[in-house]
Amino acid sequence: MIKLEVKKNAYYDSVTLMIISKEIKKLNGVSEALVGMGTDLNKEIAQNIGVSTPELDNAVSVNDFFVAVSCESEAAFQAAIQTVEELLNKKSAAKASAYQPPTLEGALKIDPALNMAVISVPGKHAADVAQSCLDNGINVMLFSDNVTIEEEKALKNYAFEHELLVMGPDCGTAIINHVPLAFANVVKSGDIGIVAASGTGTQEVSSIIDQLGGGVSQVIGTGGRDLKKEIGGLMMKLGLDALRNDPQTKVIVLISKPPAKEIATEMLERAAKAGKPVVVCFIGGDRKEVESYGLVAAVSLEDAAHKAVALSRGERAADYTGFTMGEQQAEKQAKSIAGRMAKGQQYVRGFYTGGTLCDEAMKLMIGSLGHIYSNIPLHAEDKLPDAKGGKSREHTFLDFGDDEFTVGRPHPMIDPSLRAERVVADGKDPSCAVIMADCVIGYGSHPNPAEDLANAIQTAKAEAERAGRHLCCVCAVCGTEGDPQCLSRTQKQLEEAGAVVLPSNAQATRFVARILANLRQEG
Amino acid sequence: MIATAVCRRLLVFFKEAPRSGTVHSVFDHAVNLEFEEREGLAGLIAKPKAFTPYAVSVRTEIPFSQAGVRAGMAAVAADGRIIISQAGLEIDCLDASSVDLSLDSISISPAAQRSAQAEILDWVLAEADAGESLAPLATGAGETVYTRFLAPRFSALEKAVWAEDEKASTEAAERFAGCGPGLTPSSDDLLCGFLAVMRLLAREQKRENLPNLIARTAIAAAKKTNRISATFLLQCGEGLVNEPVLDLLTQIFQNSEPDRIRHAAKRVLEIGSTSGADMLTGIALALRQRMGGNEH
Amino acid sequence: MSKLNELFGQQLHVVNFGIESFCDDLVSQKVDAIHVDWKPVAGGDPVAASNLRKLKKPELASKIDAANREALQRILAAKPAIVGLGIAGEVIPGMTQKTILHAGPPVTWARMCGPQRGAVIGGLIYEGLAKDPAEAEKLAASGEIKFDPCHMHDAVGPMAGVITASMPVWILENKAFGNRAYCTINEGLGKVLRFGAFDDEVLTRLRWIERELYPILKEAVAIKGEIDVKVLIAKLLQMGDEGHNRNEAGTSLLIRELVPAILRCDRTQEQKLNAYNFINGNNHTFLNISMPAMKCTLDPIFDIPYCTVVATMARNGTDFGIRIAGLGKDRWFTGEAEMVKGLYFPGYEEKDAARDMGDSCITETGGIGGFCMAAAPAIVQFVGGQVSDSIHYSTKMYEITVGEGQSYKIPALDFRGSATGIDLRKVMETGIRPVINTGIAHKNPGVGQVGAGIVYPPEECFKTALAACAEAWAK
Repeated sequence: MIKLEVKKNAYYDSVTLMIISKEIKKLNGVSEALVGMGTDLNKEIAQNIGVSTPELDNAVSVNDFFVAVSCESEAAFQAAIQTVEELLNKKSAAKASAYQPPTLEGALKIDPALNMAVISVPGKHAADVAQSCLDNGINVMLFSDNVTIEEEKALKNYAFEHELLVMGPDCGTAIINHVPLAFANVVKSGDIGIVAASGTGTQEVSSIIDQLGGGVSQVIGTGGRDLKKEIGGLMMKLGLDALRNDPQTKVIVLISKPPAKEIATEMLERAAKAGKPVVVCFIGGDRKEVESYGLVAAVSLEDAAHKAVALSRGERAADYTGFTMGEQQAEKQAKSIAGRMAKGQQYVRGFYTGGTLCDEAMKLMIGSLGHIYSNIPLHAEDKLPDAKGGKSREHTFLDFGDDEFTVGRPHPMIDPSLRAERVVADGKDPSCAVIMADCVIGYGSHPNPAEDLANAIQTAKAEAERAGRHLCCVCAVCGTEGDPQCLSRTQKQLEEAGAVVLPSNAQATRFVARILANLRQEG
Repeated sequence: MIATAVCRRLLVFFKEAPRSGTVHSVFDHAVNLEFEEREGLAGLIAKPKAFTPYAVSVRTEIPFSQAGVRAGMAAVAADGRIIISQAGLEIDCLDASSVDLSLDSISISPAAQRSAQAEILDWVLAEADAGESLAPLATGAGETVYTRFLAPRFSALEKAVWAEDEKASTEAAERFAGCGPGLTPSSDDLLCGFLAVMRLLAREQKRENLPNLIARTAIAAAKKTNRISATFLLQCGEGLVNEPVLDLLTQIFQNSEPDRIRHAAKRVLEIGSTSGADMLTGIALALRQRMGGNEH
Repeated sequence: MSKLNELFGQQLHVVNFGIESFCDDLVSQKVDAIHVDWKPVAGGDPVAASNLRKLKKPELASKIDAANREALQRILAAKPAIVGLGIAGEVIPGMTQKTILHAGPPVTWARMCGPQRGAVIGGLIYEGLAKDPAEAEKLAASGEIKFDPCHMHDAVGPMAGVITASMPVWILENKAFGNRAYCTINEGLGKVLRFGAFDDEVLTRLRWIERELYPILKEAVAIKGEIDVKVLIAKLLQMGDEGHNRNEAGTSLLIRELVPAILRCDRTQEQKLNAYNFINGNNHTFLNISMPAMKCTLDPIFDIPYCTVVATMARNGTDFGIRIAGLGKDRWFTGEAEMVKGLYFPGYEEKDAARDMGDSCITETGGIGGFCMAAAPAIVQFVGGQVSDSIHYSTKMYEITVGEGQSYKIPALDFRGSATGIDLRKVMETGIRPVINTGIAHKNPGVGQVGAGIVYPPEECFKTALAACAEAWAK
């Protein structure tokens, strides 16, 4: 049926009416519709699309507004009329979306005071973007990986000369002027300055500092290759010198894997001249050399945090290798867990989203285990050929943030699903005794990274239980109470899934070592 | 109103037959008249405006625009009078002196260092506040968007004229004319100065075909510009120039003292807002005789 | 103290490239942060990226930069004015009885789209070269007719853009550089030649324009004298027009200039009234002024060596073509014209539409039209956008232009001069293509306009142009 509604002497803009016509046509039971002013043109269109009526032709003037609808029923027509009214009266809720310029040039036009760039574009383009930022006097945090060492060297040479930062490539963490960049935690402000060549290592240290009641002044990332010979620690030097001159910084923490000998010497010499206490955490490195320069050596990331906080309070920096729950309680719990395990359960599987945390765990544990197979092995012969597709072998630790796992998908701290699948898969392995996992929270990370992990732990434990085994899952959460995901809430989530949650990666590692030791004794 | 001087060519035109036409445009110190038999306009000129070809110089106390003359009015020339009856205006030309504004009236002294003379003009241009004129084309200082636009086009024109390549020169003139704002676009003024000198150089160097080519080049340029500017270009093609330019070219080609050349150049400079400077630029450029059409 | 220590004392202002959530995190913490909508150079095309690198070598880059600044200065110095009207065959250079000018880059009869063919048929009948459509088609295909782009003859034409020898044209002149541009008188909406209609109604109207309207307009302009179009365009941008797809204000302004002169024409009252009613009854009258105004504004940049500014964008419903100032007038770079995204008049849909067509995007090339969408928010409704979208469209264009206008200003952008002088390099570098507001023609000849919307030039034409620049200038 053809229906017509006319409003005398009402004017609406033709474009608005065209949009409304289009909307009305979409309604159920409506096959054609024309909403418009009674102009000759519109009458002609009505004719052409078959919604014309004699009334429209004769009684509707150019000053009248009409709705002509070809529809199935009176109800459909009424619905159309109502929709027209709604659309006519609708004030568009203008969303004030911010303009996103497509280039740095455009961004500088909006804010000429830009002084820090966070770059996470694909690696092959990253150096170009970074250089253009440096050219404009903007410091760079280069999150991207797959930047060649030649590119890195060129960028850093330029930056060093111009006293600009190039944090990265592959730098996940920095806190500059109390602003957490990329993957970083909400750490109280304080007097501890950190220069670090490691991402999650830095998150671990800064988070524990926060947990201990301390705070940070600046956290400068350098990227993992900064202390390689080719780069020569340019950013470590720049950062160290800046922290030395920074009145807000009372204690300095250096974090890195053990660097090449001559670079280490150069850095330690420089650190020795800082004129303030420097804690050096060369993960798994030689503490004697550090101490020979009068510097404080840390035995773990957690220990670095403890020592830095102590020094900032003017206290003595003693090694921290214990358990927050107490030595006896830890032993008791480990023994009890080992006691519930079935025969044949003997291996640990560490599944990490944080590379440095994975590395630290292996280094802290290797002594008692001999071999730990990994995609980032401590010894070349322990390299797993196909970490992603293949199966775990005996004691296996995997860094899910390594290239092999991140091709074509986001970093596991953003998308932890692959790791969760592996937890379930290895839980089925009768030789698996313990699954270790980190859970990194803070800005940049998944809004609730514990969820996937907790579900996986629950599933894995239940399946093992059904198969007559007791699977132990040991976790440490890296983060602070101030983080959007909240430390205690995350810990609780994992505990409720049946995980044993320890306050730090080092403690979790020591705890697992005790379970394995108990298993060996029993075996 | 009394006419003090009449261009000899106009006098001839008027004497041939009574002429009837209309007022084309009216300014304070000039009225342009158009007659059916002529493409170019004829003019009534009052001081301080320079005397131009096909014009009558008139002594008057009030500006033409206030004397009731309006565009579109009928104008008649007969019996030694020009009458615009609607404005009640009658100009008696009977006692006016007949002035020859022809370049051919200049007697050329034996060849001189023309480029040195050009240098004098460059100095006059450089010292003057020539604002938006095309002077940088001659002096090389203070290029503008117009001079950069015109430089390659002028080179092409210069080269074509010296090579006596009529096709190239008319095409180049078409590309050159009509550039710049104002009643007479700057590039047209420059062209007038340039072509006028070229006509004299042609005589000096006995290049017999050149005057014809100059005339055709001027006609080509005139097609690309407005009526008033076209009038001057066409006159120039015929070998007629305004009085200050004629005087300057006389000083130059009679090898007068630099001071006299300078003085005459300054009179040209005073024409219009930039017209004088543009004409001087054209004159200076032609005197350099860059036969290859130098790159700018 | 190093500069780094100075940074420690400053407020952090962050620019983010890549993962957008890093920026969201900062914004949620009230840190000053801007996310850059980054795309790989040349959309990741390695050949284009390598050509860009060649043009970026410092020595060449500085030549190009200087040339482009010169081009911008010329564009800004332009003074387009209406100087009169004339008959195409008499005033357009190179025009002959058997020449048909059309919109866009060169195209053969065989490849012409429906509406353009329709307009050619109409044009041939109008000229008396054919007596009916069948004869016209035969003649068009015979090779006897010379088809040439308007752009190669100092002219522009909207939509099909057909100009034949007898058609009256507006004559515009760029007073600053003395060059001229020509465009027909707009016929109105609906069934008209520029949309490929050629029935008696269309031909009758064309003849009326030639015999009745043209003499009056010519006389009126002669009485009125030159009309400064730059001033009109500057004004219409303050009045809700953008000079391409919305011409209400422009047409009104033109009428204000012309009517007193029309009244003084030596014609009957009825003739004058008819002329007035025709130009007043057609909102797009001014389009055929803004187009040649921008055409004569842009043409003077053609002889600047090393200039990568886009001097022409034009389409013929088959191909989209651009010309680059430094590569000269004879080189077109083309790609398949795209479909227009927009709003269709009731009764029509996208499948009815012809591909993007017409020389009208000369307006965008010169910095108005889509580049001034923020000045005409009504336009953005064609693509279902909001006022803020129109501002974004205009703002984005600054990323690909050499500079900004001095006369054409956008009120909603705090009277910022419109983005002017499209730099080919920047288009390739940012992946941002010039935004064009346009009408949509029906794909069949003679139906007319079926909608309006927004369209972009195909990437292909920029890519090939870039390659040609690299080949010509990078040693």
